Amino acid sequence: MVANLRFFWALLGMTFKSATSQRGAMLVRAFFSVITHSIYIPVWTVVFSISPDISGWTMQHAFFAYGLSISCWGIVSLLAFGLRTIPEQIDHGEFDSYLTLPRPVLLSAAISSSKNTGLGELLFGTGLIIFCGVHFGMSLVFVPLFLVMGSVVFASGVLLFATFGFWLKQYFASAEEIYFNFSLMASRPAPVFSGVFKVIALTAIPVSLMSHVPIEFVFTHHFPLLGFAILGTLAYAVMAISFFKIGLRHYESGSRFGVRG
Amino acid sequence: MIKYFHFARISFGDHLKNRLRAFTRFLIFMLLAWVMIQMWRVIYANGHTPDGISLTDMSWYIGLSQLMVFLSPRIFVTIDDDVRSGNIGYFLNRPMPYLWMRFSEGFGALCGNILIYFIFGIPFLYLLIGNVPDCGTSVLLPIMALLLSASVLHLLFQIGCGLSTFWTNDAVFIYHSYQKVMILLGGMYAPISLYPDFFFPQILKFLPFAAMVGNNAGFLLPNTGDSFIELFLLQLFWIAIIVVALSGLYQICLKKVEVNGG
Repeated sequence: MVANLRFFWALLGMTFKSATSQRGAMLVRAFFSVITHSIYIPVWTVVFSISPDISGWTMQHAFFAYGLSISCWGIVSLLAFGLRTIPEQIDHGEFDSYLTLPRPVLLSAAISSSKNTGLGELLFGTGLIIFCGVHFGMSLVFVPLFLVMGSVVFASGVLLFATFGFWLKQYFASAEEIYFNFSLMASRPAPVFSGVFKVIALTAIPVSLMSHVPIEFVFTHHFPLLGFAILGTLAYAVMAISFFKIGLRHYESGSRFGVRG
Repeated sequence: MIKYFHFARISFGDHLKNRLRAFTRFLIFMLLAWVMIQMWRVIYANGHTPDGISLTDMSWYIGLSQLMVFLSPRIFVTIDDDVRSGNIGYFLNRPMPYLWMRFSEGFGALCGNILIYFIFGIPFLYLLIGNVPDCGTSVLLPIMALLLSASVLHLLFQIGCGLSTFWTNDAVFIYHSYQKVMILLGGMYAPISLYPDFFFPQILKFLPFAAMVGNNAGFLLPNTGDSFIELFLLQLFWIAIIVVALSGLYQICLKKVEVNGG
């Protein structure tokens, strides 16, 4: 366990070193990432100019939820972008190199690459959360915990859906679309999810654990709710990792010839 | 022209053959359409009804706006991959411009999506909403025609995003930026006519984003005052502009291609 942790930090350091070696590109992407995500502010301004609230969900909820979801997207892009490319790596047979390493395959595959737009997403998301704290007076005490929880949920969701790539060929384009919409769903108003979709949003696609439950906790300070969210996050992570291990057994080496045309 | 037709034909067949990809996309469309329509249901239930627009019409507007995004294939991913992997070097040797080869492939896949989404997507929206638009089902035919040309425009924008890989090395990030601008300026979450005055909705409706999304779905809303011909001509105008711009961009890109090796 300690050895794995040491390996994790070393790998993370190397990935960061590689990502930040192109500082100019990283900063440009971070800047454009902030500009891009800022567009959601006028989008929600339009919606809330028509309806001041959506069953109690107001502008502050929308901004906080978007801040959380985009920060988690940024954290996963920065620290574990490899998770998002698992289906592509499977299709290209790139898992062979991880299998030869003496450490957990998942750790190597997840942390092997980083996406530098993640910095902009993280900066924008945390900026939006801080704005909610300053402007709307929302409590920020538990935000670090929410970010860790949300990132674990999002990373586990990405891993779960990426693992289908062990059985499905040419799946990576579909997978990328699923991840993007997973994150997008987390920023949608909580009152929209009712009935069977509320159950889905808490289990199979637990976007509620990323944003809806933390926001409810900020307003109610109902600690059993937070406990439930932490347990749900851990259970989802364990399920995703177990599913990946099952999938890995189906991995067929990429030792194949290529044809270009 | 026949070679472009064959590229489109093969891509059409290939697109329909990959059932998993089609099914996954359709599932995402259903989920997104459901969430957005449900959001408007909640807004209407709270009594915040926009003047003159019924819940049924609003739901159809939102559903059709979502549908438009799913009609075009994600061609920018293919171009991004070609540029980054260097495979573009193999395609440039062919006796047809790479740009229009990818466009014809995209158009073939678009036709496949049209088939899927018009056959299954529109009945799904009907089942979800529970009613036809207030002005009757006949309004859906011109909207479907507008959606087709809007998707061609969307496809051209995607190719532009794909070509940006020559400078950014990441078309996905450029596409996400474009997508968010489209959400705001196209009126994907709410009809442009409901935008506050400081957004200048009267100007927004002439931009290519509205020509792709809001104007088409907005055709079923009462009191928009737009005719089918006007909307179609606006789309053709933007298609012509983007085609010229893409051709120029493609020539610049060709100068940036460096082919190494033997």
